[in-house]
Amino acid sequence: MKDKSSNNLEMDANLNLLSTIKKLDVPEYLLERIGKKIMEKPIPVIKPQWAIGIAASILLVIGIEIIGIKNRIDNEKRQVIENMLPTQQYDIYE
Amino acid sequence: MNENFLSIYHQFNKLVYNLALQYVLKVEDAEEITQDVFVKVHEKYADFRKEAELKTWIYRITINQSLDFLKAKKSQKRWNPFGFLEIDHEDFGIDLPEIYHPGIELEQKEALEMILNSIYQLPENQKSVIILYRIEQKTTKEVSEIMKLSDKAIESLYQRAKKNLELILNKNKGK
Repeated sequence: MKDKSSNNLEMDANLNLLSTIKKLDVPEYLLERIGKKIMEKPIPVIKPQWAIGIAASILLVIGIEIIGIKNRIDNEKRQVIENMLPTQQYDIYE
Repeated sequence: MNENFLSIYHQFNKLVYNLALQYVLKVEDAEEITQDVFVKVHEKYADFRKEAELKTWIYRITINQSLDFLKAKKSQKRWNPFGFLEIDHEDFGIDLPEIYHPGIELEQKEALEMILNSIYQLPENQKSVIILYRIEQKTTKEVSEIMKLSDKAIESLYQRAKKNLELILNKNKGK
């Protein structure tokens, strides 16, 4: 890209220096290291959005189960209390 | 590693390594970024939609990885409990990186290190535009594709970057 401003020649000279930076060759050991890193990394079987969906479903099932257990306990308690109450009816007007 | 990946690696390793080096200015850090970039390429290649050219895609990954690396380094420095023992250039208004860049020729070492130091202090987008234009010698069209901005936006970003660079250079020269 050509610079339009002519008053900053020094700046342009500075920027032109940047093009003298040499490109370096990549060290050979890097490919081996990359290979190792790739092998170490476990391949994700489940995609993140699937994991969120599965987790939400599990939580929902657990929630429903907890409510069911709570209801069952309440019913059992009620049953115990009812069993403790005298079953014979007295006629209070007797 | 399959052959497809190896051919991508051999085609682009120099590009990735040198581009990362212009951002982080240190060989070891550039090596680390190059590793991470190719691990990412290996992971994401199946999802690569080919809307962009492979080269452009790899440029983007390298730039993002380099910028993330610099951010992580900065925050690591901030949270270092023994940070007070280190000489913090930020206290003097400048955040100077430790430069180890074998691509710089000896005769221009001092001048180039000063410019690279100043580029290092630019905001992310301005830093990228200067690196892509002036070091990587990319055209406006190529830079706009890599940075996903319009040609006009790139040109004005470049002008802003140049102005800021001049300010930083003058400030650093005065010290």
